[in-house]
Amino acid sequence: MVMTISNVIAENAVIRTSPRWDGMVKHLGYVSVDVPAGYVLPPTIATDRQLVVRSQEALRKVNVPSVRHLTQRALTHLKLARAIAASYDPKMKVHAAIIPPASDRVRTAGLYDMGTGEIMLHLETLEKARTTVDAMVHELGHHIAFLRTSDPLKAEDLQPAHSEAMTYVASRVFRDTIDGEYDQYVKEAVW
Amino acid sequence: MPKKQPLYPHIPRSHRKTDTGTELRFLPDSPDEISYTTKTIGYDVKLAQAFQQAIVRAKGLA
Repeated sequence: MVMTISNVIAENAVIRTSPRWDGMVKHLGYVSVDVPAGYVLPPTIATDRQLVVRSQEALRKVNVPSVRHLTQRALTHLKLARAIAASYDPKMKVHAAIIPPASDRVRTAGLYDMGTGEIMLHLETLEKARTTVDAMVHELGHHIAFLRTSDPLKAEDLQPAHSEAMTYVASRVFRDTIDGEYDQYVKEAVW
Repeated sequence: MPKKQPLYPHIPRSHRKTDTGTELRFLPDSPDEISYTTKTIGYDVKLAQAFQQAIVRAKGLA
């Protein structure tokens, strides 16, 4: 007997084609499910790979406005973010950006581009020093994990290499902040 | 003499041709994910206290 699966599958489900995408699928607000033998898939249900490809295409449309168009507060926090990045890599680029949602279920506050090694911080993220610092710890964690492993899979969220790199970054940022390294960048900052 | 303007508007590197060797190039993070991971590694409170003290120092209020 042939059955359709649309009435038993959750709205946020996609069809698993490979466990390789499970982490990213979850990250995009979806869950991967296996399709039992004998079920026919309606065309409206995407596969995990289709979801990821759509997300990557959407993120390609990130828009980087000129710093002249930033609020004073966002500019202050962008300078702080760049100072944090510079302590790891003086050539690293950090941009204020309008980043498209990564899916129809999640917004994007920060983005690491493995192709260029650049970090994008959404304008909303830059409105507070707290969200800026948190995002920099997170995105620098991706950057360092990717440089260390050269493996996009191992640089993904909360993979051991990413967690380890985030802890390394956070400990250094914490120590440098205590030592006054960022004092010149936080005079106008709003935590 | 007026300062020369660039011929083209700024084009971020993310719009340029790149290749990570896989279909995955961008690692996007939601606000909740970023906040959650800072807590997970145990640095949310430490960083908050350190930066709040730095802000007070920088403003000359310490």
